[in-house]
Amino acid sequence: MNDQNFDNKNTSFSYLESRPLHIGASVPRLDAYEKVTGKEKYAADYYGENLVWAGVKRAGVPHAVLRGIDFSSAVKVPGIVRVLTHEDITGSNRQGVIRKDQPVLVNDKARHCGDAIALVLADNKESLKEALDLIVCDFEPLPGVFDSEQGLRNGAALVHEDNADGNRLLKGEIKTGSGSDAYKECDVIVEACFQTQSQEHAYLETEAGWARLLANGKLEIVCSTQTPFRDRMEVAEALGLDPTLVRIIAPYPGGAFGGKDGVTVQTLLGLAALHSGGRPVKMWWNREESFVSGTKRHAALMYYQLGAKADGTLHFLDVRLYFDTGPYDHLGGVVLTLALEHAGGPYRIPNAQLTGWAVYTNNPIGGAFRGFGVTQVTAAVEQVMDMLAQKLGMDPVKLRLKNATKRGDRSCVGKTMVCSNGLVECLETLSKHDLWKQADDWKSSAGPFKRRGVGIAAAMQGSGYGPVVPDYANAKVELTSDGKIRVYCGVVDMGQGNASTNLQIAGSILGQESGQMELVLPDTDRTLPSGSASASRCTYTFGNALIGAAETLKQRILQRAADLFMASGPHEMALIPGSVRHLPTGREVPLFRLVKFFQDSERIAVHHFRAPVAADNIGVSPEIKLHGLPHTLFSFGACLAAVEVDELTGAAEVKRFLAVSDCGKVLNPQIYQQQIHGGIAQGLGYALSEKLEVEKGRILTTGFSTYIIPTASDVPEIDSIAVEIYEPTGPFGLKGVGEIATNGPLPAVANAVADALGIRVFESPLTAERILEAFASNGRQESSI
Amino acid sequence: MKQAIALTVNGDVYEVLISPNQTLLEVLRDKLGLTGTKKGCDLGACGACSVLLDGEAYLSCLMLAVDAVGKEIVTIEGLSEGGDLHPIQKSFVELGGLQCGFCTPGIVMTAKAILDEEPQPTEESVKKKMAGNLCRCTGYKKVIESVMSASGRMGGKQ
Amino acid sequence: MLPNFKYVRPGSVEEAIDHLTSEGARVHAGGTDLLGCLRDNVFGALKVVSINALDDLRGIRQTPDRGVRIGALATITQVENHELINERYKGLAMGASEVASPQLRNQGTIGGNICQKPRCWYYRGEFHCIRKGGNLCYAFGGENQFHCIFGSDKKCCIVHPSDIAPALVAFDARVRVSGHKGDRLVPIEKFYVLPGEDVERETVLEAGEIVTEIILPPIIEGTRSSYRKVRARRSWDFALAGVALALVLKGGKVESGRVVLSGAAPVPWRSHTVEKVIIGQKLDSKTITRAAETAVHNAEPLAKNSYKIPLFKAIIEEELTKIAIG
Repeated sequence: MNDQNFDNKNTSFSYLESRPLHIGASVPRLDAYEKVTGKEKYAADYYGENLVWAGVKRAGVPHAVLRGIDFSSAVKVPGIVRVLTHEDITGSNRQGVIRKDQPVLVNDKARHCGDAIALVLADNKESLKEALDLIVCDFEPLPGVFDSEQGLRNGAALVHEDNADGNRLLKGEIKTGSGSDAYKECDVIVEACFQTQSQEHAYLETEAGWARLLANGKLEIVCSTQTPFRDRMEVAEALGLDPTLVRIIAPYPGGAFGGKDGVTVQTLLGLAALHSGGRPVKMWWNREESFVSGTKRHAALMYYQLGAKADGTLHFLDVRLYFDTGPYDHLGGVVLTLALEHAGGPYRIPNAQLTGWAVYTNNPIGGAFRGFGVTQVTAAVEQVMDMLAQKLGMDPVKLRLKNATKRGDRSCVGKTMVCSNGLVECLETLSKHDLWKQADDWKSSAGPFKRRGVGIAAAMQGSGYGPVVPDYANAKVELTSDGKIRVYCGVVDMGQGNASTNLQIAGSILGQESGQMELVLPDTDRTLPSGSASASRCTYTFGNALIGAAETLKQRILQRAADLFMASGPHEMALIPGSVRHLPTGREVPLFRLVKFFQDSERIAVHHFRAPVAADNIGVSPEIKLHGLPHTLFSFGACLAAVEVDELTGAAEVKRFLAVSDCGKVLNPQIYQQQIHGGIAQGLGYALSEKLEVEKGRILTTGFSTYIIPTASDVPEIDSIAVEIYEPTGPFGLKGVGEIATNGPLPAVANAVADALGIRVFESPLTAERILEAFASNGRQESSI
Repeated sequence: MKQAIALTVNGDVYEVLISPNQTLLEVLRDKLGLTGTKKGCDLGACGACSVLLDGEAYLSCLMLAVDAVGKEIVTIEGLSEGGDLHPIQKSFVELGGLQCGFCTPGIVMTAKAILDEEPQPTEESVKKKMAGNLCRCTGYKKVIESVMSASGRMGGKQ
Repeated sequence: MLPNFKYVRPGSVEEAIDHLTSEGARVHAGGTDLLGCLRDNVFGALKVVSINALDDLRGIRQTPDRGVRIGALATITQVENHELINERYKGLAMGASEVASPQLRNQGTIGGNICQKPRCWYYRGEFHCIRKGGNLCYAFGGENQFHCIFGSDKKCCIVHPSDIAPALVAFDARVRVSGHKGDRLVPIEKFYVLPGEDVERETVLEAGEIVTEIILPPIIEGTRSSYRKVRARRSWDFALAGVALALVLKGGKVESGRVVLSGAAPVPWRSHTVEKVIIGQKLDSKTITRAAETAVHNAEPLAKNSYKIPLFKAIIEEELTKIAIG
């Protein structure tokens, strides 16, 4: 079993009906067979003979100088191969997507409880555990920073002494129109402060990987990742290796949601494989370790002032954001920047003063999580919109419609919205839905001790990387020597279904059925660099590249067939499943025959695509621009939550949920709906029950019995409607669907609870305890709606 | 101290040398190479490791392998017969009851236990009985639809 | 990864007891709590004594006096679905149906459930707290939103996690404890230990003793019972607050009965004050309101769990109302 082969996926489509793949159809996912039979091999499923188990000694303290590591007893444990520390690392020992501020193994001090101190290699799991327990860290405790506002104060303990800005990772400021001065011109102003919590990704497959060093010096790492090409560079730099000697192989991750955007096990595994004497190494974090060391959605503190004219025209927005990024940048600066860009929601607001800080603390690491900063600010702006509607005596849908951006309008950061924009269609569809039209009837039929409310929220989500970092993909399609079509995916499919969609795209262009298609999952040695699986970009960017590659290959196939048939040109030829047909005569040549007339170099077509960027110069600092502002492509959505609150227990239950989304044209309705349903479920967990308890940097809720994510019994009936506005730059008119659905649930639920009780709960999640407390202290509430 | 035990998995008898502190999940994955059964938490709080034990859904992470001696164990690898998908698996494929797929083997095995006990369940009943299996991707809607469809499919066969 | 231990599966209760008197021995039934505790390092085990071969400890059956005997190895699912229990001891069946998840109910036993260890996150986490032999209860000054409002004795503020034990207390069940000195039948109310008596144990079980069966007394005519649990999620979640009721109603009045709270105290908490208010009275809305008020009279909420006061009031009021309606 030591000879792992990283096979193409081509054996398992025969169970599907054979007909050419086509766009717009609910083609069953082409990864489903392997997954329902348990045959799919995830990173966590790699073992092999003579395996070495690698594990990490974690700091366990939030902030302390590391004076020494005593592993003298640990190395004596029978079955221990090596104990490694920072001294064994010859590279930079630093990793990070933007700022390289995170050590692979701590060399100076621990900055959060999950910091890695030592790496242990053992023959078996028992010895590994025993040795890890025996390692003693000599720590000199330091005062910590556990709150972002506190971190910015003078005299706060410093997380990184060498950071010129103290605990400030990034400050962003954007002023449009007359900024804050515009408040004077408003007839109505609402004001509120919102606090949203850290959220755990809670993918079912915790961080896992497998690595080996080949005799030729090549380091192979199989891992659960969203970013194989970036990982290669990170591993090489941190360990001081030539990146061409590092190969990252990325099977389907068992969920990721942003939590595997960046290095988790990769560098540690690489280091282990360099010291395992050629034996394969496996690392698989346990659930507690995943909680403690993995990244989280940033906890945020958000101060909002929103002003409007008497007729409801939005006029002014003042926002201050504090994002707790934990001890490392990870993607904290980028998350803050997206939050700033989306702080005003999908509305026209001519005057805005937006300020935000991403702050280093000794809490768990803040990082990428589906929604990426947009989720937090959407929760805030959509609640102040409802507060404003209430104050103006306006219908909340009408207020949103009145201010909704249309194509050509400017967003609150002054960016001209040039992409397709279905926001109005989303809101209008929602307002015509029975759940909205009959909301009053539904609310008035609440049973005893129950109160009902209906809340809505709108949202937009920028996709891609922004104006500076190139958002590109390189697609590769091959006519194999046995006449199949093989698609080399450069972007990871962590469950969202893009691998399957890629086959659907290539199959539809090349007229092939699923049985003719093969798939190669991302692998830095076999597929081409195509960026991360993130930012709602996967099918947009890679799909565009793939269309180019598939069209090129199609032309080559048709031309060669035309030559063989002595046809007047390729226009007389058509690709049909398995063959090419000469239309005038009906003669056919099977692809496995035709391919013999190809030279090897012709069988492969590649195409590069780079996503368009905003042309506007909106006058933000180069640093903010580098962090991704502004975007040019946005998805839109509007949603509704019908909520019943139990007056006695405080429990809020979402009875029905409606999501109307504009993600451009839908290529596969089944996969589209999965993405919407899943985003809503995560958003509802965020809204109602997912509460990461962190006490002085230490997480108390390190498992699923205390960190409460929704079960099948907790998710309500969901209606999801696609408003399919064609996006001219998208593959077949598509925009990204990965994130938009996550943003609406929290504000929609909060608005519904406020509608039900007349009390607003400003801190999420809206647990029964919080609602009950707010309800019990009604009257003492400072800023009720 | 290692001891030899015999486990009956998917109808085959495996003689395997284990330590008493090894869970059924560890033995299935690490010793027998049956990696279809997944580890999501190792603390009985996610359902990814669900297998059938004498027909009932059990969490293999909270069961010592020694305690599984003499029981009929069925894992995801044993569900389909002769390469044909089980009707439950077919329904999950066709209705899209999965995304990343890591919870899927556990969910499919739980679905099997549910439908064996109650061949024509209501949607409410399926939700309640599926509440021991976490899925972070799908929001469960298509998971439940898949189980309901499988119920119809299996009922139709009888 | 579980620690190394020796595993034995004795063929008789006596043999099991012998094994359990040895140093570091732990009893093993369904394993759902034991394996979690071992993995979380709550305690260690040198020897795991499986009682799964003791078939006498299985089964649920009627006793000659028309009570019910539940073997310690009966699974929660068996308790939940048993006809006699559903017919006569509805509150117990309801409690069983609220336990954890379907799989855990298949695996977990009633004996294990009533002996389970607390779920406090300090106790389960890396804190050497007073219950584990340390000096301090970290929850008093920490995150205590899910902790107790009664009975902490200022020592330890866990809540008892069982959904079944409160119903058993309500029905005045007895626990058969077997040990070297023979068997003893302990009223389940006396089975649990408050922190003031001994902060390092939850039950009266001595080393070498195991629970072998639970005996429900014959049901008194006119008994109505229920169990209500409030929690954040519909499965797996422990009670924020719960109430088990077993009341005997005759001629519209409460003749006798018990009111037991879960999620309230380190033990299933019998609310004598509520019982005093309702016994001998008609369950009219005035009595019910007064009962609910009284229930939390002497409560001592911590910094972050005062929401439990209105919560307990609410569910007691609601459940008494339901019982009154029938």
